Amino acid sequence: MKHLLKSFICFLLALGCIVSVNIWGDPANLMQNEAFYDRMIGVMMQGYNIEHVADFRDRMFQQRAARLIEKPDTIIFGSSRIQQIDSDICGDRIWNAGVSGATTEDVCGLYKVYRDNGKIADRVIIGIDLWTLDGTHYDARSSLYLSKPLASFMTEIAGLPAAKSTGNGMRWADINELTSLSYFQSSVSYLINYSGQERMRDLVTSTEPTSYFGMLKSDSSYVYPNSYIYVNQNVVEERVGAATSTVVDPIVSWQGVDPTLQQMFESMCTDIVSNGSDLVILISPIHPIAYYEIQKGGGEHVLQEFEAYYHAFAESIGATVLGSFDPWANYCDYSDFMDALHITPMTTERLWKDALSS
Amino acid sequence: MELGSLQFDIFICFALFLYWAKAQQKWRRSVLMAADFCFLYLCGLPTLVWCLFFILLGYLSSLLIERSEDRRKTGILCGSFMLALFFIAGYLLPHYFSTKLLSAIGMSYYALSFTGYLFDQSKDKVPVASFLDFFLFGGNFATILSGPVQSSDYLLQYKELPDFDENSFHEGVLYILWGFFQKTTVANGLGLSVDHHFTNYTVSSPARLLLASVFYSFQLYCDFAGYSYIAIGMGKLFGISVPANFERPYLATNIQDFWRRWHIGLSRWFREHVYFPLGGSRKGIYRTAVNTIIVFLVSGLWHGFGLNFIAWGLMHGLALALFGLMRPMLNKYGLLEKAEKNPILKWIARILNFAFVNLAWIVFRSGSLSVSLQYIKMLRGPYEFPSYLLTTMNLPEKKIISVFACLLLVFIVDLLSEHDRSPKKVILASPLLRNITFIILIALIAFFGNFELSGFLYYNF
Repeated sequence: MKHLLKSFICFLLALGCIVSVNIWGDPANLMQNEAFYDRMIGVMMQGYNIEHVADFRDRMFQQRAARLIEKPDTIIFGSSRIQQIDSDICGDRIWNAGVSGATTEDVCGLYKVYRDNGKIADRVIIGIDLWTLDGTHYDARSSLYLSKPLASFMTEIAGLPAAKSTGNGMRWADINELTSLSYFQSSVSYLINYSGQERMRDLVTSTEPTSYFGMLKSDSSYVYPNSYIYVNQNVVEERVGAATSTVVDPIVSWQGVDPTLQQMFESMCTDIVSNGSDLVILISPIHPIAYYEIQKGGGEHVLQEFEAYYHAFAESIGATVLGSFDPWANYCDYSDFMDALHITPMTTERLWKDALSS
Repeated sequence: MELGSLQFDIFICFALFLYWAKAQQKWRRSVLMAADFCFLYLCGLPTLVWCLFFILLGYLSSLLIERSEDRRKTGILCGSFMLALFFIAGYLLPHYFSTKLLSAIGMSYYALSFTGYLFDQSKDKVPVASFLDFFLFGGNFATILSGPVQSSDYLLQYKELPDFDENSFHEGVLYILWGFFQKTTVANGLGLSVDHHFTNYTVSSPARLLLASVFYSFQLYCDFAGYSYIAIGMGKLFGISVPANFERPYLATNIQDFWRRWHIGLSRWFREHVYFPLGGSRKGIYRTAVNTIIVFLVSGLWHGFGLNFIAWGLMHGLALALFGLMRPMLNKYGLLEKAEKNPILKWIARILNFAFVNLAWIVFRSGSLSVSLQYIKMLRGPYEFPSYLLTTMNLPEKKIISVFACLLLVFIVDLLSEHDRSPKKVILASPLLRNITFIILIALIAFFGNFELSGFLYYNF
């Protein structure tokens, strides 16, 4: 037993070293609390962009923002596919409440948060994704960070039973991350490569329109790092290939629209319109290779049925639909994309500026 | 629950403390059973239910065999029924269902260990076991994830669990660290390149494809051997013996030698339960050759229903059969003996053997036979080896050197062990050297491990 205790202490020491380095480096800002996000929003309210945006808890950030920002003219909900839309494109004062990998639960949960805080603008833009009505698509972040507002959305707006709340805050996955060796490597690399001045939590501000490391603009729209945007086509095609299982496969083996998600989506849209806001449903295109793979797998009709549904539903409530999943319908070719799902900043401007600023 | 995760670490620590807290056999067996139970539950309720169902089924089959008049026949029937059930669950049920049930466990190890026991029991090789022994044998968390396939005599150890042995404990830690080292630094490091090239083989050059195929051979070895070492090490922490599964297979000088060293548990299972019942080598050299081919065809099919797996099995079966037929002639001229004694000839034999095994792995790894044929067709050349070749192999950025340095370390350790100079003995003999080795291995894993790829390659089979 004595020997076992000795081994256990050695194990704890090794684990302690790893956790210490992870807390010290913390490249994904796991240790940051609400006060940090409040400070971040405060800086953005003064018109500054935040440089060196690494992985951070964007759902928590948006919940804090809903309390602190002024009511914008346009508010945008959706995933990273619409996060590049900024005030210049819209032509008015916007707030981009998009979050990475947003599911319908995320969009509805965040809508409820902004609605409760009286920040729903006169114009609301909702970005549509391939997985918007896919019941098999799951992202743990929505249930972890948005379970409470989502529960209230379900009962008060959608008229559906609320899912069991799992609460917000530090979660098991974060604790696991702080003890993981992959996070340890990122922390070491972070500590070696960057001086303290350049970390995101030091809130490096910028007024430049482009970024080397990824930037959150003062309107909360996202600027991709130059290294992600300006790459040759082979790299983009590799990225498309790597995303096949998440982009193409679910459509090719489509199981049908999830009725709960559909009701959530429709309730939210109806609520927006009935409260007097203009609603724009925005469908950003996907990469031609991904679209072709979907066509080849016999899934094109699924996308066409989606779009027909969005158009019909929008017409029924007096909303507008812009764009299409089909890249050719948007006059896009290979050079317009950074990966399977994201168009370049130049294409974002070309596609949406005229339509949204008018 | 993934090996090496925080959840797993906590689980192991608790289980170890409880297990060694009391010396009574009853206590240890109960703790081990509870640990297995908890582990299966943490893998998911469907996995627990599925495993319990099979353990119960195996135990009832064992009782049925014991009471049967024609034990052999009943044994074959029960064993075949269990194998068929595993096949149905693994391959014929809807994908979602089988994934839910079996994703957490290494299906084949579990199935083969059980059926092997039933076959052996019907031949009176092992006595009938109690339900607890059967549960500890079948549900052992050390082996349920990644094997190796255990022969029935390993069940007997659960009847009398050994006392705490400091050396065995240290050996266990060393095995675990060495397994993680192989898995994370080499197998995962090479995996990114392998996946990339086997997916995009049509747009790659012959030199890159050749390298990728060699990478796959080492990836598969380090991944599977790594997991086997972890299982052996985990067993040792609890004083339980887990059979060795690999004996430096790429240092084999011929194909027969290779199969004595690769996936030993599975090879032994096929030898005892397929090859011997077919007549083995007792019915003349031609019948032996046919039996060998049949065994490898079955082995290929066991790995998957694709034509590529059948082709892979056939390649190895034919090579072994041919070797068996040529062996008398090779012995007559003393070629095998010369190859063993002359270092240059030995290395030539090793390289030739590796080249064949590597070729067969291409067929194994490709998604289909047509893909593997196209891949092999592209290997015809022309070859260009530019100086920047390695840097464009899609290996983990900033870790290219470390991947190869770690592979070299694995190779050196294998080579030393092959010549009876196993570093393990030296390391474990000195407490200082042992602790330094532990620290170095932990540091190597922490700094040079690749954690983007996780999961065990052989889960699929």
